[in-house]
Amino acid sequence: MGTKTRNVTKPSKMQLQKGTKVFLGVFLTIFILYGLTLILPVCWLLMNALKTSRDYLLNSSFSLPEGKLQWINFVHAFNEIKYDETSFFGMFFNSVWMSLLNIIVNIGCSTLTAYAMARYRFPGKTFLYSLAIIVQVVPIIGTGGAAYKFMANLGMVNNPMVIWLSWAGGFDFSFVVLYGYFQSISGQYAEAAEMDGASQLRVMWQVMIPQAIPAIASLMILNFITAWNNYQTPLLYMSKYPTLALGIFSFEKISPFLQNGIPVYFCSVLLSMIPVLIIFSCTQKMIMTNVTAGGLKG
Amino acid sequence: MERSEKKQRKGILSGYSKMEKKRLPFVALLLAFPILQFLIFYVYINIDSFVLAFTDRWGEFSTHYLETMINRFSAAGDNNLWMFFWRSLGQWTISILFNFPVSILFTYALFKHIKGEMFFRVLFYLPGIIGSVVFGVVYKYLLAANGPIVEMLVKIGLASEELAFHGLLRTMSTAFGSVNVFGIWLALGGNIVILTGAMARIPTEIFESASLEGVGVVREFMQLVVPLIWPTLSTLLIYQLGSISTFDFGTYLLFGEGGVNYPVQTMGYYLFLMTYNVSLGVEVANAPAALGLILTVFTVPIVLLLRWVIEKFSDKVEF
Repeated sequence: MGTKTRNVTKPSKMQLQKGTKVFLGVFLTIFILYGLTLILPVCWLLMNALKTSRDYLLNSSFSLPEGKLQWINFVHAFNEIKYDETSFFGMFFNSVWMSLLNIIVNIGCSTLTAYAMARYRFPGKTFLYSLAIIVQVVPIIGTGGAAYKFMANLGMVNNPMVIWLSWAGGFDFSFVVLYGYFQSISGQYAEAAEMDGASQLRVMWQVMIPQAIPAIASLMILNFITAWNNYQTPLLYMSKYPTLALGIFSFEKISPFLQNGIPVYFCSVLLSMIPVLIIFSCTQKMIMTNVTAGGLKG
Repeated sequence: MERSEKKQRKGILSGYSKMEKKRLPFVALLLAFPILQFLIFYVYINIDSFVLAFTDRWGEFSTHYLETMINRFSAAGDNNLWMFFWRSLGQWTISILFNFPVSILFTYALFKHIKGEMFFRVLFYLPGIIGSVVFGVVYKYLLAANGPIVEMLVKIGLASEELAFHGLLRTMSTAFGSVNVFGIWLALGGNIVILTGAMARIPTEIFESASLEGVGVVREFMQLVVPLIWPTLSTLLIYQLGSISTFDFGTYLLFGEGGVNYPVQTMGYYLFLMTYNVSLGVEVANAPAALGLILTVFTVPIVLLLRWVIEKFSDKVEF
């Protein structure tokens, strides 16, 4: 019996290992190939960013930079990349404040909404939750023009003091993730705090929100990255306060006509990547483990 | 009157404990601003958009814009709106039937601790971190006439004269295909973050007992992983349904306003251009509102039907 079991178990284990090995081998090959398609273009960009404009235009795009590497192009990028009158640093500053403001109001409102909906029972709760899901899932198309008209009439376009009102939605994707997260947190500490006489505000601020910090922080980082890379919203609503993403998107049209041309433009593209790369590499483990853990359970 | 109001209030709150009633003002305080924001920036704007679709530029009742848009669905030439719709639908289908399953398989391979797991995890999320603008710029230059890909095609004799002169994106026959490749290329790693979390939540005992029973990797994926993460998969799918008629792989990013000169316009691109033109003051908001209303009318039933089908497959797995 023992022998029989061993005979049955051993080949099946071997088969399993073999199957997994083949699967992982195939995917490793695919991953390397796909990974190369993501890495090589960035390397190509760097290689060509260090060329002179003449070198870039006349020689093969595969060729290494002719003569001295043009690190000076990065300095030129700081000095020459402009969107209207806004310098590279100006665009950088706009990207920072807009992304920060965006995450504060957006995640702030989503947190409050998700907390109230997940923790409390109140009349209309089911209706509100269904509404929040329906508006995200059922498409109403073509309202961009009406939204622009409305915001322009209220003087919100190109107005940093009030533009945040349009970002302060409490019923978006972050709400869905945080709602799930708050539901998964035990209410025991909150109840104990309430018994000790803590106010609802204190329970929320000092007991419940600290427990949701991993999810809130991860969503903040993801939203920051999205806001940093968003060029369409600033193009439509904040064109007088161009961000780096908008600047890079728009500058491409005029880069060939500048003295140092396309290589300098490539430098600005590379420079714009640095802040989000740093933020993501410092926080990627937290994001990977926290965004979805309580998240999208249907 | 007052008494009946009191009675009604009592009715609404019957079944609530004293504690719960005491908490209600706080709940109202928390929800007041988000609800007000929602009423203004969603409800009002949608109603206004609906009204705009039925008025002319002076605010008088008119079906001019609706009729214009309906006629453009049967217009001859490159500006036919059906063409834009089919392109959006095609890209949406690629995204659902190719990108989505591939991203699930990628996540599963990472979940099985493939060599270099952490490196690939970060690498595949790179387009999400660096942003589509940067990748869009890189892609445009890679496919340009003096870029490496066209240079390679010329060397091996596969480039036509037009392609060698204009590059892949600016050649009529390759422009749309190039946009599609861009969309596929960037989005393969798209859902890895969310799916990683979903797979990580599957109890390890399930895999251990499957392994003891000699379940192979394909069976484990098809019969264990997919059903167990189905709630997440269905949610992601349902979220993506909404973009069925306006899906776009980044045409504006790759072409700017110049896309109108190439056979690459999708409904999403066209609607964005209209909104952009509204912001420049060269278009009135009535036109996108009218087109949006037409699209909404025939998209919503499709979305609801597909949503119903997806939910039918959901088993409400709890673990």
